Amino acid sequence: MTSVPADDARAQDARAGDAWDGAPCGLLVLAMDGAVLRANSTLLSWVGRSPEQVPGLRMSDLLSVGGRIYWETHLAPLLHVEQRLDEIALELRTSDGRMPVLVSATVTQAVDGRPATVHVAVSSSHERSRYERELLSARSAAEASERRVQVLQQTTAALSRALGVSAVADALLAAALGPLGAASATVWVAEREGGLHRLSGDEAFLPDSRLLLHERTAVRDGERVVVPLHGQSALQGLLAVTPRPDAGAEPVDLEVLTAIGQHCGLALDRAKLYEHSAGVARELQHSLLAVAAPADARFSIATTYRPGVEMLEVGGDWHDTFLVDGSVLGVVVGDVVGRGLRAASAMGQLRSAVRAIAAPGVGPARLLSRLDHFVEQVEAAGMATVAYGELDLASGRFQYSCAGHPPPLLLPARGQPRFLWDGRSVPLGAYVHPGARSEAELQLDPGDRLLLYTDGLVERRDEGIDDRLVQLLQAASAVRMLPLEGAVASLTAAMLEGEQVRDDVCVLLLSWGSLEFEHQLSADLTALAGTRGALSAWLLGRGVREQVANDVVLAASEAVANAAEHGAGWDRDAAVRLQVRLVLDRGAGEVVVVVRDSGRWRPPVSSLERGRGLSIMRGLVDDVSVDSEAGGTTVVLRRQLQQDAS
Amino acid sequence: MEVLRRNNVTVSGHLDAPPMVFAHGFGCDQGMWRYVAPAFEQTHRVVLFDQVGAGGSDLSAYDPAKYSRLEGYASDVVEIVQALDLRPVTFVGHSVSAMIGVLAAAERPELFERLVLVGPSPRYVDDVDYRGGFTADEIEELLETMDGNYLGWSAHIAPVIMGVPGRPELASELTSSFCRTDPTIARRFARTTFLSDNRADLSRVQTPSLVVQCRDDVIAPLEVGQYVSERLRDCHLAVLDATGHCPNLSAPDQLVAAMRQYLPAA
Repeated sequence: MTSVPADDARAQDARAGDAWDGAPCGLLVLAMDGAVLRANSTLLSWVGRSPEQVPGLRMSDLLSVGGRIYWETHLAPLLHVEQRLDEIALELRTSDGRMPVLVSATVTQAVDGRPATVHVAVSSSHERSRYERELLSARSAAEASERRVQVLQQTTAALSRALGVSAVADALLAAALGPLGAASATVWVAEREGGLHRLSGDEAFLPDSRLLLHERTAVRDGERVVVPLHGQSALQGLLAVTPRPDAGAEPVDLEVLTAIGQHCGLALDRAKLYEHSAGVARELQHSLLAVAAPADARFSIATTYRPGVEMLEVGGDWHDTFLVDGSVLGVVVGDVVGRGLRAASAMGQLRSAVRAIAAPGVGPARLLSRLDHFVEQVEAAGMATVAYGELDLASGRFQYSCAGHPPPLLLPARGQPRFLWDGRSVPLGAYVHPGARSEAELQLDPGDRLLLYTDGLVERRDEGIDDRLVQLLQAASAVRMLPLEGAVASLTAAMLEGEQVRDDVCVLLLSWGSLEFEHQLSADLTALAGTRGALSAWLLGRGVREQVANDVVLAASEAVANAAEHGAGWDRDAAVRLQVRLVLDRGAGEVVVVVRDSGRWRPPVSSLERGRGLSIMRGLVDDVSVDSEAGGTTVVLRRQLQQDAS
Repeated sequence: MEVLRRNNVTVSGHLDAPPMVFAHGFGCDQGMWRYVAPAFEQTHRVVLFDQVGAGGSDLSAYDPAKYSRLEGYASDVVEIVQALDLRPVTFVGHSVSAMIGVLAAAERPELFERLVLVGPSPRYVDDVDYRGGFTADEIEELLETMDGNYLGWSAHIAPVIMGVPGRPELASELTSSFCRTDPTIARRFARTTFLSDNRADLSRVQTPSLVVQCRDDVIAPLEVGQYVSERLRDCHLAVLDATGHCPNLSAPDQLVAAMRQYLPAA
């Protein structure tokens, strides 16, 4: 080192001091652990400290809380590893608040026993940070608004997809627990009487609805946030949301909740209106379908109507049976296009029109042609499909015609089921030539059955119609031995098994020259003598040999008496049901007697007594089975018919 | 394995030696242990990892709901220990990861031999009869500042540090790891870290532990370290003659010495 004259050295020191203290930026020297060793006067004046306060001061003491944590967790580690920092935006803690600055620092390595130090330059960045702050706040506002729009879009889409009130409540709940991030949520819906009714969610508390009547926005209520759901003219309900308590969870956005509450209130308005109209339509449809079939010993009918799943509005399906004249039965199953009140009322009109047009000498084809004219006047009935048939109750002659409707199914008493593919034409109102409707004719044998149904029974989203018709044939085969009611129930259940979403289903099963005998007796058995006579006459009238008929009547009487005693316990109000069915197969057959009571068989007074009843029955028929369930006891007796039986 | 990729797990040291798992705190990544972990490679099987959202972890695995509670991070620690099929480990957790280790050991004591807790704090915000070092307003100020993205917490921190004029060799290293954090995740991690209250979990821990505390730490003051060591069942407290919150970088030799003194000789 060259020697420097003393004056020059002093001058140099002075100049260095001027440069240090007079610099237009803050300058600091730190120890590696963050202790302040030196600070220039610019910096000291910014932070409002005197040179005497420097010893014991630490870098983090000069910074705002955010900056202090940042320094300790990010910047000090970075200085250790990278040995420098460049233009880090921080805030100084000043006597009157915070001052935005940019900080750069470099580490001077330890030399000659002097420890490593950190040289820090701090420059004011008021303008730049204001500009940045504006940019960033604009950006975060844009991001926040984008997130909100997304949540709002998702939620309103879900709300508008929901049809009924409970579906709207479920959609709201799903939104609250999903995109809105609530820990728990509860939806309350206003009742007609003015109270609130909890619809979904798990919180039991009831908010003060009087307060909410005047509140248009989401409000905090302790830990919860309560959101009023205002419809057009009234409070439709409210949503209570509990935010997640987790430390890192995003705070609840009251403005988004308010907006969703408004959407939901209107969605509830719409849902209630919709449910009202759907209810009217359902009532109308029920009243139309509830009309009893004519009573006549020559035929029996079983029907079922299953409303669509996941579809609130009724469809336009219907079935009807009526006497065209004393010996001709009209049978119809039809399906009006569309759903709801409009479809239900069109169905009602069409149903009345069928009854009005049907008359002796008209016949199925002409009836459909006249319906074509009718639907020109009733627009909503256009393109309806109809299967119509007339059965001569005396002869078993069946004439039928199908307007665009799935084919009726014949279930013969002997042989395999088959579809009736004749007499087909286009749906109502879609015909081209007048008089183009055709009809077909079929001779029924006693015990034959006819199945009419709407497309809901056979149409399925994931399967072709041909496959489904084959399945219907199989299902019909499987139930052909069952009594009429049971056959309809089993067949419908088999066809609709596992179906998640489906249309309405209407099924009508008609049996002619009925091979079924059914009587209901009260448990005091006052009517037993008459029933015995009727059964005997019925069996003989269907060609059952006298010996067999006598045995069957005797066994059936024993079973009925047992049921009255043990099942119903002589209770006058209890009933015993006697069903007898002739099953005729080629060259052979059997008679099946089913006796059902609604109670559990009591243990017999003595086993001798019970044993006597059963042994009598066993002596008279080929097979006796007793099946006791919670709902009652069923006794089934079977007796083979000889070749000459029918 | 999925877990090992998710948390960018690295293993070094002796395969048969007792396992030691290092967990970094809020702010950086496993690089925080660069002066400490090598000191144990002769005597231990050393496992380092990045918390999900930090360093080389799989950012797509970041689930805001899971990681809004420290329990979410604790379940990751358990999964890492299980994935490596380690015998009971010595867990070394810095800063917020000290509490993450406390939660993991309380839940699955059979997986943990010892805990070394460097600068732990069960709650940063002051409460009745408790001084965490920060008032609720100060934490709000911190979060507001972060939410405003203004302090350079995130978006522009990495680019600014990277663009060191005249030292292009720094850029690649910085982009690849140290202190690189996705801004949204950093903000959430800050909330989870500074707003959690896990004081009640301390008494659930059976595992013997060592609390290492700097003499002067503005993030986790000495009295918080004392609070933790008094409430853990079998706990030693070592106070380093050092300042700041990161003795693993500023005083690694002291930290290593304190750990060696506590741990049984290998």
